[in-house]
Amino acid sequence: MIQLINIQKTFNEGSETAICAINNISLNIELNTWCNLIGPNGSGKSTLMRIIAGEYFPTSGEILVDDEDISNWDQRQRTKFFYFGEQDTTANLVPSMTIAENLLLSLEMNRFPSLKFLKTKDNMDKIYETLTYVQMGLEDRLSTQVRFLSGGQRQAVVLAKALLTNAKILLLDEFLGAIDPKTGPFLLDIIKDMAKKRQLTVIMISHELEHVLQAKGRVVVLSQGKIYADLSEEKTLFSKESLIKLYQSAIEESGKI
Amino acid sequence: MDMIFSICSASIELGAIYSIVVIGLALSFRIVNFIDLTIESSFTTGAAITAVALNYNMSSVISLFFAFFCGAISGFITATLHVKFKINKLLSGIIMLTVLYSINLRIMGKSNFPLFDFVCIFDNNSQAIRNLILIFILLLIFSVLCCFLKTSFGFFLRATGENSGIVTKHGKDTGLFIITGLMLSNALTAFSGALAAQNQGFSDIGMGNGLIITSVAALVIGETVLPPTNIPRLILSAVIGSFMYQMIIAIGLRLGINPWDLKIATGILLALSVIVKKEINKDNSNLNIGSESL
Repeated sequence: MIQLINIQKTFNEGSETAICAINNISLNIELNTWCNLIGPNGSGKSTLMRIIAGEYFPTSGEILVDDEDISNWDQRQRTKFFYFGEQDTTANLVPSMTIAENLLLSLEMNRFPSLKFLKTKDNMDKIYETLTYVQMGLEDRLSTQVRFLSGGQRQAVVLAKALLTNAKILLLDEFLGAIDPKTGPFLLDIIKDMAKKRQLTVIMISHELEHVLQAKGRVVVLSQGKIYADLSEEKTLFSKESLIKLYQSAIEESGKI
Repeated sequence: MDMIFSICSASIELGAIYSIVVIGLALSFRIVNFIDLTIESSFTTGAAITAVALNYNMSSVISLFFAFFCGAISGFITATLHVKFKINKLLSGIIMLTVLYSINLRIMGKSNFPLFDFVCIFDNNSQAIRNLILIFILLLIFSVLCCFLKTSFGFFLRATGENSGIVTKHGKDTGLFIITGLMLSNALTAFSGALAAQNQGFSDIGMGNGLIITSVAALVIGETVLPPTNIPRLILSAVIGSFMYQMIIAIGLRLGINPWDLKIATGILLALSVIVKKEINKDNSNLNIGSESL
């Protein structure tokens, strides 16, 4: 279980411009489940995710994974559990490296990389297999530089990277936000499938309610740094209308101040 | 014909020696994305170390290794200033550049150290053998670097320069790679400085002056001639650029450029080659590897 206990995050604390981004959130997420985080801009979704990934440290509060207190772990250490996929399609890739080279990076597990050659037959087979699984036809373009790929193809490579690492928890911050309406649902299906097969836990931020409905799973609605609503997986068999209603009322709520 | 031949043979020797600096520069500027100004002084450090080592009756080859090692130390300090103490990259380079100037004077004990009394690596050899020695050294550096950058460690070194965030995302420290990259780059530079000193027969405190601008010019010329689309090509373009730069300068001097105006020529040459390179890469067909920060 991932436990967030009384997480509070204030930017510019103590000054006049202090902004309370996360206001005392406590959240338990079972492992091997799917959790959607939705909410209006500025509701604290991304901040919360970055706190989980270790990019920001909370002003107060604790984070536990499998009863292990990781509050003091930095971003590097937390990669033991998490893989963080971002909306920016270049954030997880090295643009001038080829697809193969980008994926080979994921196969080095040690903190201090060895002086062994990465491009072995064994590793290349693994990469080929993973890319075939992602079904974007990238397995035949292993020596293409990543910078020449489209946004959708790049995110597919990132998914393949996530699969090759040992991380069991996938953090996706508007991962499909820049992807067209055809490729988006296609990649989402692949994420769902790999989550099921590899017993991954997925926490996904999305502004596309279509994606949330397609992904199913629990829905946590944030507003003004607080949990506005928390719908368990059973309740997400709701209709699209009720979700839109809930989302809109969260937006209105945040507009009050 | 005679003139062309003499220009070529002189440029080959200088080109080969200085190409080691350009390779080091490609490593720090392109692969690790660290605009490292330290090399201007660590070049002289190499020369100073080899002079003192020869003075203690060490063999000329061993003195080269000493220079290599001391260059690595200076790169280590520059990188540590940035990585551990968060000093700006340029500033940490400038700090080391300044500090090393005094250290170099301390090492040599005087501002000019003649080496004519000692047996140097290039002594008692014909021009052909001298060139062979240099080509052997270049081949060695080329193959070791190519292999190194294909290893797991080398992959992360490359990733550090282009997207350091990804290194953290894979659970590694970026600092480790910045430090290693700069150590290697400065070690190569100092090694080259030692070779240059043994070649010209003296070490001088001002040897490294203006080295960055000439090396960057050489690197950019090389990259324009041979676009570095992979690691071997990046190193090759550094070497080719160095040869071409030396040749252009030699021709310029023959054509009657006043040596006083050499820096003007270098400046114009660098500006021109950057403009040409930008013009070539305009249509986004750029396949070059490494950071394009300069």
